[in-house]
Amino acid sequence: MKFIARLEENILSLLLVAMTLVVFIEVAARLMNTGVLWAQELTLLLSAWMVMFGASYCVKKGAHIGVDLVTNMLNDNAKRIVAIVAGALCIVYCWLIAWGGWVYLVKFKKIGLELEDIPLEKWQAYSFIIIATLLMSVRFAIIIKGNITGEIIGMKLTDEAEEALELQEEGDVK
Amino acid sequence: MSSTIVLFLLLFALMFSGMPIAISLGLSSILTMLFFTDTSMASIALKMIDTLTEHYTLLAIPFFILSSAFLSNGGVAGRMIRFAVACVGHIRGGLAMASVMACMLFAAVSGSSPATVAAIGSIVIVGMVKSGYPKPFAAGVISTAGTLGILIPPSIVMLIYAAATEVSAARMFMAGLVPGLAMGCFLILAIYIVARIKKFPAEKFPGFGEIVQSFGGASGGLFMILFVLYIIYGGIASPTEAASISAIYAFIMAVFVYRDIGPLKNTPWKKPDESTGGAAFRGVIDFVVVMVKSSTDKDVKKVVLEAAKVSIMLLFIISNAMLFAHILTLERIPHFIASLIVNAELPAWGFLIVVNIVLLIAGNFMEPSAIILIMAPILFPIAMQLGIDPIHLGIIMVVNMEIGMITPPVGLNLFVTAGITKESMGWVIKSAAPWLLLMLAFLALITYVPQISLFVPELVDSLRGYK
Repeated sequence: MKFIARLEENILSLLLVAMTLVVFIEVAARLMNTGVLWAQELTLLLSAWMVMFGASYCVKKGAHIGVDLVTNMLNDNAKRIVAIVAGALCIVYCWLIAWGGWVYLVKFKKIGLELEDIPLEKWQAYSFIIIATLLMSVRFAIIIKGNITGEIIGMKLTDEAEEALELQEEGDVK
Repeated sequence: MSSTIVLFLLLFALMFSGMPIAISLGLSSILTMLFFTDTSMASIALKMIDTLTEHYTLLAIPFFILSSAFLSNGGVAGRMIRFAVACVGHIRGGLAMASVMACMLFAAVSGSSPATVAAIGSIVIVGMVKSGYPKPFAAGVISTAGTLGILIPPSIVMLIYAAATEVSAARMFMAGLVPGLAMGCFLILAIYIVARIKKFPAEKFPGFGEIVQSFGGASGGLFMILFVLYIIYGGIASPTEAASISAIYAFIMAVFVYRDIGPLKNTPWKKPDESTGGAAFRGVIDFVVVMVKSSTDKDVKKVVLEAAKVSIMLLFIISNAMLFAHILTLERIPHFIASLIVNAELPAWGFLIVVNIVLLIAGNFMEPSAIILIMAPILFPIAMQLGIDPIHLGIIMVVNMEIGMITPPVGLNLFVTAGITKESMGWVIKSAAPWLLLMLAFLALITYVPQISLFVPELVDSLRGYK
């Protein structure tokens, strides 16, 4: 389990670094009067994969911002019930997108459309829309289960201010 | 019209249930589209894919976040503060002015307000209290000056506005420069007046040597400001490309030049028993080694992962908010409101008052990127009809968002300041209140003098011969 968690973090970091480098290389190439034709498409694809897989990672880490103004006023049991309902709705969201994505990708596969610059079929490049949303629905299921057993209370959403502080404190220690 | 009401009711109900804002935006839009229009789920999924793979401007967001993560963890903030104190510390109230100046400098390399408050505030508030400033004064100054993070380019909020309305991000960045500097000067002037009345202390003048020396120390960060400005204003590369370059620059600064994090953390530039040539030679070797070693370094990996997390969270909100904007357009809601306003013969200045009030209220309850994404598609077409410049509207929205950051209950800067000072929220709110008035006056100025925002973009246009 720990290995998979590490792998996920490394893949996300690697995608971000790869995006940065591809754009940088493209600029460098342009200044030397050549170009990298597929750079823009590749960067956008990398970012799309990063965002969709990362969104599910952020559910696990509680890194999405949410409004906890109202739920904070509830007692713990009510909080758990609201979180279960909200979690279920999030799963509905994931499945709706996965289903819509499936219908579309099947069409893409039938027509056999390719990307503009990269020799890859569109349905392969865009398959993140199904895989990532299904993965995300599993993460929400875990949150719901945690709320039923009482291990977790609420959706475990962090607030941005606290995070900025935490980062800073880590920086100070160094 | 009933679809609109359902859409907004759903949005607020979902949002207050505590689910991620991104999903409440996406789900409410999807459900409304499925029930009230003949849009199929497949085309909604396609819309989602499109927003993720067709907005090149938005890629500047992860890059700027990455570069500011390296800068704030890599000791740039501290060096900027030292430089600012050396420059203006000897004036009465100088330490407070220096903090504002440091916030302005840091804002020019980072695109976020809470990050600016955290990076600068955690160092200077303690310093100010030690030299005899009242603590509420120090806290108020920092909360307010920190909001400059989103006004002085680069700014993440401006990038989001640019993506939502398809105006040029580079022009937004140009437009933010003068208002940002003006607000900084406003704050410094206000501090000077307060310092005169309340007789705040002045530091001893450290001498020109210290100014030069601290400039040398901070030059890595200061040079980056000039560099990014030059790239964007000179039209050499797009904001996205400039952002990727600055991310790589910030990385090299943090791990190789300043060495506050990363594999070279405890290796000095020149060891005591080493000749200059030897040190230079080792430097070259170290540079290669550090590039390889960083990929496994704990600090570096942590910074990158943290930046990835923040970027993902923002971009995920944005891609869902695009669905929201899509349903608004499908139902012609902006057009409907626009015709209401045109029929009521509300003049442009009246409309701007309404904009300010709505945004100030929204700013109390939501965080900036979400507000911009929800409000920009509604306000933008109306403003166009009334002949308001889209860039000017963008700057007005950004300044409103700044005020939202220092008003309760959801003022991000207030939370950060409360965290730094270890005081209660009520105390922090009170400390920021006098500065809020100043910000409101500044907002009025920005709203009714469009030239402040439009001066630089128009100047650059005429220099490039477009006009």
